[in-house]
Amino acid sequence: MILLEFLIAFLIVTIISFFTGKYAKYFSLISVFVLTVVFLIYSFSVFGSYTGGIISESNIVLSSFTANNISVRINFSLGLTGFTDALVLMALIVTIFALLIGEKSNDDTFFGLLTSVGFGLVGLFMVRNFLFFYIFWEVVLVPMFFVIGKYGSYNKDKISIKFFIYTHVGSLFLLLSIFTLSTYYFLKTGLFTFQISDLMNLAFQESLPKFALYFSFFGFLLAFLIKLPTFPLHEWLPNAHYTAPYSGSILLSGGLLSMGGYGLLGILYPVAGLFPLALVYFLIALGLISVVYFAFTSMFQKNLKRMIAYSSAGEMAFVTIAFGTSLLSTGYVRTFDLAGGMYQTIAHAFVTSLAFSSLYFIYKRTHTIQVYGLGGLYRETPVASSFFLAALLASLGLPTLAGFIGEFSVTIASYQSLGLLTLLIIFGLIVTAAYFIWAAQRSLFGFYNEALGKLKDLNKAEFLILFLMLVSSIFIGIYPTLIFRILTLYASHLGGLI
Amino acid sequence: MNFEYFYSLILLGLAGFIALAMGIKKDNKKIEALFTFIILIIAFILILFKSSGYNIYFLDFTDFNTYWALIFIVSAMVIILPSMHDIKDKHDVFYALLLFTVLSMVIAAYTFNLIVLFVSFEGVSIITYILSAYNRTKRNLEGSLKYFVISTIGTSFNILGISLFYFSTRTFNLLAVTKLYSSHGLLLALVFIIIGFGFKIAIFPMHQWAIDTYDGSPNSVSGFLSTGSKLVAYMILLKFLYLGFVPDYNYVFYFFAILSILTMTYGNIAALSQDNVKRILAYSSISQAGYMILVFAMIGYSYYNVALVSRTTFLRFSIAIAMFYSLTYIFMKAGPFIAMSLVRKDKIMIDDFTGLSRKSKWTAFSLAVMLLSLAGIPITGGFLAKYFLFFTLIIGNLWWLAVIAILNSVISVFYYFRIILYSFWKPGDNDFDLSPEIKYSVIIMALITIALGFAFTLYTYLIGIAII
Repeated sequence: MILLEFLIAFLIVTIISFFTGKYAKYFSLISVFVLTVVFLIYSFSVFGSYTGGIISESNIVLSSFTANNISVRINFSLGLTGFTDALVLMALIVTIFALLIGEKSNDDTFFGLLTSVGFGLVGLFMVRNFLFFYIFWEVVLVPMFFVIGKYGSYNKDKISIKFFIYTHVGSLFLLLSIFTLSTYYFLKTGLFTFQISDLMNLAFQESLPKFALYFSFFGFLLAFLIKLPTFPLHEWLPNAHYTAPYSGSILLSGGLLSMGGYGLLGILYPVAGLFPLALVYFLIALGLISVVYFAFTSMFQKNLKRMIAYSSAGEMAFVTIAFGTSLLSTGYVRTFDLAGGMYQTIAHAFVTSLAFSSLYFIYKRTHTIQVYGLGGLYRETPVASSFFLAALLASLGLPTLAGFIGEFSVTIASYQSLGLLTLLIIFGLIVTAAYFIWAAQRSLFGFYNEALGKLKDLNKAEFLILFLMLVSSIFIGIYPTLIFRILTLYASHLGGLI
Repeated sequence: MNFEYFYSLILLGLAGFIALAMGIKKDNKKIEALFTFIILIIAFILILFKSSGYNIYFLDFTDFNTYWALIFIVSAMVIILPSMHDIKDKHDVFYALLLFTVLSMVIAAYTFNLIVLFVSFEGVSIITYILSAYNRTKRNLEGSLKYFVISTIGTSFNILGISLFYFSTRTFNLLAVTKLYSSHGLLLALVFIIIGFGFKIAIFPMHQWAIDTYDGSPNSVSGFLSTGSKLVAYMILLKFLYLGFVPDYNYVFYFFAILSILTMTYGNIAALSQDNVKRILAYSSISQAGYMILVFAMIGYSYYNVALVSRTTFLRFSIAIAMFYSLTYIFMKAGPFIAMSLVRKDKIMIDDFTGLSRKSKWTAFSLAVMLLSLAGIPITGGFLAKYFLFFTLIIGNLWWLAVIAILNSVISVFYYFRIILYSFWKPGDNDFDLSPEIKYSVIIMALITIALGFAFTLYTYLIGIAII
């Protein structure tokens, strides 16, 4: 029951933070921090002896009805797996990061909205019922729409609505898939239920007619691949990032993108064994294309924020690749592949938070993030520039930083099934490295753009924020076992090894 | 004769005359409104606790009927507070008329007899002609006249349809339809009755009056027209199609499917290019009607017997969702109409809403909640209604219809969000009329809309009482 209490506490915190006036930032920060500590203690005590699968399921029957051969049951059930435990922790930490950046420091609505996004994410990762899964899936979108629309910059009206509608389409098809599964579950057992454990069940889905099965796969994949985002479905992302305030961007890439990763690896994977082979290859192809495509598009961006947005989408492409290739492999390779994909989902959030935050502090001083408007920043603001450089290096997957573990394990594992096609990933990584170093060279080194004038370097508070982010990024980079252990256990459970 | 069941009806009728009498000396709107409200609450409680298991003459007291009676009382209740602000004079007559409308609606809810349904429906119609012209401005009168003329045409269709129904079944009682004497007559009756009541629901080709009337009427009356009086016609058609119609005609399903697709698509697309907010809401109520008449399509479809589940299960779910949708519809539709009174103008354009969130954060938030609910976004009643509506379509194996409905719901997001966008962050400042009647009724409606977003138990209960 502790999860339920946790969620209720978070909900109360979220509601209160809308009313806190000028103390909004402190209130939401302190309370989310306390919640994070509580959750950390909880996960250490529970996941210390984790062996795979779902634990601590609390199941409340909200409404049930039985008559005339119909049973309807609507549950509110919570549970954690190794993956979702790490994701909840990630969501909490990313929320803290976003609140730390929090540009509009006197606006309690702004902090309330940021906290609501965090609440939606935590709820989404905890629930084990599709009705509430969908509710949280959409609940995240609404405050995000307000963050982008109300506090955004350039062309915010159009872009916020586009962001909402684009992702809403995917969500609605997800809804239809859920209904399809629920209906066929009723036909089989006489019970209408939305429980994930019942519906995402391999034995149950094997008995579905082909049309229903593929229809449901289509809906799930559409929703998850839009969120991820994968190559042809990414159109909403760069604009949303460009317009969103920086704390919004952190939640956008750290939170909303990991929803896609969670959907693929946490929700869909248990039944992915039923995917037709062509679909698996198609997904892998999408992943490979995404890696290369996003690498090249970010290369041609003149705006650093857009560049990071594209590269973050490129990092998430590893999740698609992990999803596809793990279906082709068996045994320990499969586990390694999956755990790598999951790790990438989590590490990506830390890395992009660092990138966006350091970019924000640069923007605060120079009021431009155009590559050509900057130049030689290292001379004026060495500390901020170093942090930004570290973020870029983390994004391109430098060992000892967070990005490395996931990309490395996915690349290694996918070699088993893809063979030489893995070179495409390597190629994408090389392009990424090239443009990051190019961008760093243009903006941080070289001749200083004197038009920017005299700049002050980071103050203590700002330094502390970036230092915290960098430390957390390095920490999970050099001590991945902390998370990787439970991910591996969960992945081997998924892969049928436990 | 068991008089306990008639207490609520007698109370409503008597209270109407008392309300009229209250205004003889001095027209005190506060006391009259309070009186009406208390009477409606007492009637609500009486109906709630004396609900089912009795029938006499043409009245059937069943759970199904009781639910509709309660819905109608609620639909009148929600406009009492805002009407204190909207209605300029002669409040005694207004509230008396409202009580008489509720009486007609409750009788309509309790009967399965077509003649009684028709008479009580006319009772509702005639009173709403008066209500929609109540402030006697030029716009009021224009809207009311259009409404009157069109509704009269609808009435004649109804009479023709009901007589054809009698001709082909030899009974007016929907429950007593046992034998079909003329199937062609029944089909004609169906056509006429759908057209007649379709005018009131504002289904696609019969919708044009609704735009002008909703736009022209006083705001709270627009709210009532688009919820209460529309739901009466909806309930009558639901009863008629479910009980009275024993078709050999499978194309009834296609007829309603096409009609609902046209209705929702037309409403959505027309609303996209509108800048007049009341007209946007009017078009949105047309598109909502499209979703609601999907239930009729499902009833027609159930005769096919090709749904995934058994026929009764499918019917149970379809009718339950009609009932659930109607309840949430009252709050999410009447609420925005009431919120139009925030603007001190007759013609309310979308940029009159700029700066609302700066003037009153919670009013803007409440308006946004109701618009989100209309768009079907979670934690609102509208979401749950749409969720179970699409669910029912899938149960019925109607994927294509579900996909079309969903794409429509995506289009609708655009114009609902436009209003939110204007009220929250478009630059500009307007002077808003934040009188407590309007402000609090909007906030209360939004709170109920959110509460309905968690009314899972209500939905499962409705599945239980859906079959008559």
